[in-house]
Amino acid sequence: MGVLVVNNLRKTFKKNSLLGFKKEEKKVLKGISFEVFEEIFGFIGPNGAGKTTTIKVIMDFVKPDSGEILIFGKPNSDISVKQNLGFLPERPYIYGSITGEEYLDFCADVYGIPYYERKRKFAELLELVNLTGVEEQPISSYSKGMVQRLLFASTLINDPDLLILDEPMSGLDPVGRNIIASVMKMLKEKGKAVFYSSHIIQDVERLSDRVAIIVDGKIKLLDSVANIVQEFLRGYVITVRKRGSSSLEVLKVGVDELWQLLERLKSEGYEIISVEPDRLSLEEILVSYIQENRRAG
Amino acid sequence: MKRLLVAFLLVVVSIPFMLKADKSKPRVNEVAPVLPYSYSQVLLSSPGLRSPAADLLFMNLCYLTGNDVFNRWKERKFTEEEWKRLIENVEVIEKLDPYYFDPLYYLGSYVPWKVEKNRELLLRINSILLQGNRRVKDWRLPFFVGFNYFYFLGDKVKGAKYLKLASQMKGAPSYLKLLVPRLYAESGRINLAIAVTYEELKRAKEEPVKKELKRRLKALIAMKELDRALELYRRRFGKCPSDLKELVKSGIIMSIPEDPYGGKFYIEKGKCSVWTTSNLRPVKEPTSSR
Amino acid sequence: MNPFPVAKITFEELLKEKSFIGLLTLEVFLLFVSKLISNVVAGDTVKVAMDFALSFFFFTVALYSVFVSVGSTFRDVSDRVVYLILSKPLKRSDYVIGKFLGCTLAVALFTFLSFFIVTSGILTISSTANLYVPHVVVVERVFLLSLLVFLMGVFLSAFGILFAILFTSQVLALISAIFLFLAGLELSPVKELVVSSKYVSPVNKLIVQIAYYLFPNFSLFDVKDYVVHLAIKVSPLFFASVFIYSLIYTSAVLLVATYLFDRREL
Repeated sequence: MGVLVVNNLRKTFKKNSLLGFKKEEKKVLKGISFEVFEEIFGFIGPNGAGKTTTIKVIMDFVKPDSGEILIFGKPNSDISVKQNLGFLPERPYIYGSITGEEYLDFCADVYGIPYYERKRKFAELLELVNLTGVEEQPISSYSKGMVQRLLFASTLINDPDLLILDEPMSGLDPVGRNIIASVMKMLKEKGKAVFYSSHIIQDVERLSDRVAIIVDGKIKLLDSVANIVQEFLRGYVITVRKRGSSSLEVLKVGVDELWQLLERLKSEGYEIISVEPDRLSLEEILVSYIQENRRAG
Repeated sequence: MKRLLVAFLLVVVSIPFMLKADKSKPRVNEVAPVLPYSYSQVLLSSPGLRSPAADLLFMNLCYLTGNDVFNRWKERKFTEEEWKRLIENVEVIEKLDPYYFDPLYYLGSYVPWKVEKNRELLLRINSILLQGNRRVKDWRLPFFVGFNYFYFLGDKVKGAKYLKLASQMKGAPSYLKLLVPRLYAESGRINLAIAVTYEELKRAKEEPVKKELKRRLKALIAMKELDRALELYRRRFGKCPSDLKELVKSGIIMSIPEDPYGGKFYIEKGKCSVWTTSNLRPVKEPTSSR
Repeated sequence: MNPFPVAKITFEELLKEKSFIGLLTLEVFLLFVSKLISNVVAGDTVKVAMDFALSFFFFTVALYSVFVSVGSTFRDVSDRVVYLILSKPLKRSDYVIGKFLGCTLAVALFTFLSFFIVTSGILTISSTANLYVPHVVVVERVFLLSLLVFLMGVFLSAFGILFAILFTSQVLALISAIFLFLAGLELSPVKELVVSSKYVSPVNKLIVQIAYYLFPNFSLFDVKDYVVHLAIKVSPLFFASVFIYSLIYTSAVLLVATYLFDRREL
């Protein structure tokens, strides 16, 4: 069984109008199911598709109408599961008046980390996200990216087995994104599970083992990145140059005809410069799902 | 920078209009009347602020009285109705802050002189003072009550009773103990007045008040001298003189002293005692240039 | 149950808030105002200065507790700090209790510093006043008043947290808490006036009586007169019962707050 199991999640938000006569209902989640193992699991979808709501339900901030969530085999309302969990909300914020060290101290207090271990642990974490030396300054003096990196580091203080991140990449510069991506990879190598949502699809494609695409409260696609790439492969683009000539030629070929073509080109005396897959990117797949959904709706 | 300058200029330009409007603004009558305050209204409008409310009421009262004393209102003095309201306001203050001494002191030392003709108000003042004396243990409160009975209400027995009560309390001056028996013997109105004035003079801080008290003391002492002379005259001739000049003629006194308030001393016929046309209040002096 | 980490970080945060130092400065300023007002009055100026200084002290602490508890709790929810905190192995009730304890610590420190400011102010005023009968200031009585004011601040903090959870608008929560405080102060006088009045119907008298029993009675914490007038005596039993009353009522308010927060969607 997976580290995180989400089973048939449904959630409706009710909005009472002023006098309470007419109740507006909005179905946000329409039966979401997936399972996360020791891997990096990307959760993508357009704005308003239900990514954040799903994560709030997983974290027990919001109660679902129906459905079941198991973390490490226990229901998510069990406080003990959070002992081995790390969570970073979307656009995270912490009081500007306290220092970075005071916040890390708070986290260490919660997990009962003894005082003699703290100094070493904090140094390690800050090193990981490239923030060494700023821990004694108030958080209000940090840039937005620094706050996000600090809070990301603080989620690792209890050495969690499952990390849940809501849009960890947004608001970060490329360097910051790289830092977080490398930490995520490192965690995966240690056998931890990372579940994260993002709308920066290139990152998801690069990082994730598996992705789920959520559109309008339903999961449209759930598969490994490798499989998706295979499935949506249309062919290859081959760049060649005739021996002796200086100009390049670009050829397109179907999936099955690649080898035949290569053999033929070789025999005809072409030099092969590059062979690239011609496929739908994750982004194009997402866009096609959204458009499909719009036509249906 | 330019914009700031223009803004400043605009403000400057607006000033004449403000002045014009201020001049032609409808004004309320500058005479502040004494308003009656209701205990429950003051209490409910100042949650948790009973004592400061009492302080502010007392300040208001002092301010109004000051206007009356120093003739700020030109031709106007408090009416009897307004004195009644002042007394009631002191009652409200004492309900709000039952341990507050100064309003009681004001009520006992100043107000009776202003309502001396009104028995009802005098009795009311006495009852407020006695009510206050249950909590505020100060000898001056029964002293004022006794004084009122003696001097204004003419009840010597009750007056002496409360003066005795005052003389027995902590902090009472020793001469009060001497005064009480003598007051029993004599009619003693002026003696009592002198004693009170002297006591006030000891407490006073501000120079104008001191000056006023000294003036009263001077007038009272003069009246006491004249009273003694009248007594002598009566003993010698067996009748009351018809005029103070007769006292000089008969050689009992050298001359008739001047009333520092600018009035003239005269003999009250029925009682055969001295009083003054100024009523111990400054007389508007007939302009001396005339 | 582990509310202490939240209490600690709340306290650390609140101490560095501008309102802390700002309201303390205001208190110093109000002492000068009290002195100025007392100059106007005839007679015992120290009494009047104390009346005003202690009232300002009383209301500053009340305002501070309301601002701090409502502001801090409300900001946590609206700025998503609460997600960071609740993602850790803390129960929601831990968060509410921790928040309350943090506010209590901040109010305690604030009251303590105010006590020093007010006491030194009053002592200075009384020693420089030019009176025939000096007005004696008993510091122990000011301290006892400060203890009660602190209890009141704690009581109000609990209400502040409750209202911050209950309402979805910070202004509404603040105003409700302040009105609750003022109404709690008025309760005793209203009951006194209504019950003794001939013009109030028995039904209304009953309503007022019921409200008097159930509504938080903030006028109990107001013993300013006891500080100003040395003639007033108060038994230790009074202080003991006020302490127990606020302890029980505060716990009740916190229970409701945890109940509501457990059911709240964040």
